Amino acid sequence: MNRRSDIYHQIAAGKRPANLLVIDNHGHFGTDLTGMPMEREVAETVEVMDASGIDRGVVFYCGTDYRRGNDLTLEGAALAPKRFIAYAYLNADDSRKMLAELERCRAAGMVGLKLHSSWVGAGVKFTDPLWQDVWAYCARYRWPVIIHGMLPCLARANPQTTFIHAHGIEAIRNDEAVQAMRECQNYYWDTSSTMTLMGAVEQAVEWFGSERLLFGSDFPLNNMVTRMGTVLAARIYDADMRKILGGNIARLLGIEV
Amino acid sequence: MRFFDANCFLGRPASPTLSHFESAPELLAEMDDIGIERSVVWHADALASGIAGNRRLMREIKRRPRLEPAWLVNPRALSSPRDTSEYLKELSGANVRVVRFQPGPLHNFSLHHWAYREFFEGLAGRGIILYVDFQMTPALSHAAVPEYEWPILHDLATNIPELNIILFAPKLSSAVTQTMGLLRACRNVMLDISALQKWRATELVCENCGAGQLLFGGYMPYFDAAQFVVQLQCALIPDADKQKIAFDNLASKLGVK
Repeated sequence: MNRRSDIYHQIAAGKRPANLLVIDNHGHFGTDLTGMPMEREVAETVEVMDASGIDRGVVFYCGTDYRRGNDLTLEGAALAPKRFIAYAYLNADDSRKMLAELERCRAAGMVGLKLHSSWVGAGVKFTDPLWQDVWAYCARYRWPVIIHGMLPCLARANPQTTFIHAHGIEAIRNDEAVQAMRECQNYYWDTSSTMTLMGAVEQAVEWFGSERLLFGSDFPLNNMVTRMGTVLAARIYDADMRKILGGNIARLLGIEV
Repeated sequence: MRFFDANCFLGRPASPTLSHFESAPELLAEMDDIGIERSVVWHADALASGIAGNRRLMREIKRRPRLEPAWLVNPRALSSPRDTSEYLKELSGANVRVVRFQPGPLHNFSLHHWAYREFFEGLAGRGIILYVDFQMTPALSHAAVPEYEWPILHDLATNIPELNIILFAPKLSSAVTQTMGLLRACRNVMLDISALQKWRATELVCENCGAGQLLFGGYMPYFDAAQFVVQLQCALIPDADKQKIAFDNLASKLGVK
């Protein structure tokens, strides 16, 4: 396909396409990235979402004290509950403590898990046995696990668990990640990268189909709208674009479209 | 909205790209699809061979008034005052109004105003714009303006205030405070919005510095300019500011109606 989609052309012209569900799969609350109080951060985020036609955003913490971070995420999401979907966050800990925290988060309405290689713990690998119960927990409750620093081998070793490779679109030139995308139906990429090469989304759709690609921005670190533009810019069919922008994550989370 | 892209290129660079424009018609077709009326364009061949690459560019864009040439300057061209003088004459003779200058690892140019004084003053006297590109490196990584370059840039812009300088550095926004300080202090410095991929960065710069020093740059075919169309279209700034950024500011500098 050589031409950009009708959805792009409508948004580029300042119009809002009809019946377009947009869910940003990758955002943060409680990380102090904006330096603003939570109320203002949430209000500004909703203002940007309204202006750009983004219906909902997945939010999670990322940092040191995971229990405190999960509370902050819940606090932020509760300020606009129709707009935000909260995931739990963990750093490496005793397996029982991690499972107890997941239970607490699930009871509070969280529906997925986020992990980050820079914060998870010095020397901790996602292939370490301590995570096995966590992967099983997420598989049991159909929680997607979004990982910064994702290792594609995790998806291969844990086929019942859904893994989202945060910033995965950057791996379009990584043979191991590409091979895993070809082989593992439980392995997804998100598009939250400031370095997405022109043609990367098209290439990914051609190689893997559109079912396992998810729009993500990494707000409020990144500009939510530019990252939505990365997907809108792709020369793909409207149907594929709708899946990437919101349909796929809605399917994973059981959100009715 | 009319768009004037300040930065795209023809040819194949050494850095990884997923697509490239072999010829001007290919670039023009892409511009048509995105909705870009005019572009400043350079040729990747000039990264290694300034003379051959710039000549090839001029052949490619001949009788294509939508494309404005930007020449690359290589260190050899400025190796003595006589070489510099000849290069400046060549620029004027070819009616070239934009020169790209790369302080990063590719050419290692110094931005000290005293290092290439004849060149910088020669550009200023001829009304030729200096593009300073921190992004272009052999690896095309997450380039940023090195901390030590900020005062040097400031000194260059203040010591030669008639010189129009446009910065290209997609990771610039990680230092958005320095950026705004520089823009406020030096009204002859401009910045393209692909550098403003951080949370509400376009809005923040417009609010603090006005829209007069921002312009639209896509860096195709590394990145997809369409994403920045979306970024600007959805920005929470007045429509009049959007139009200035999209077209008017650069057109005014280049004397294009």
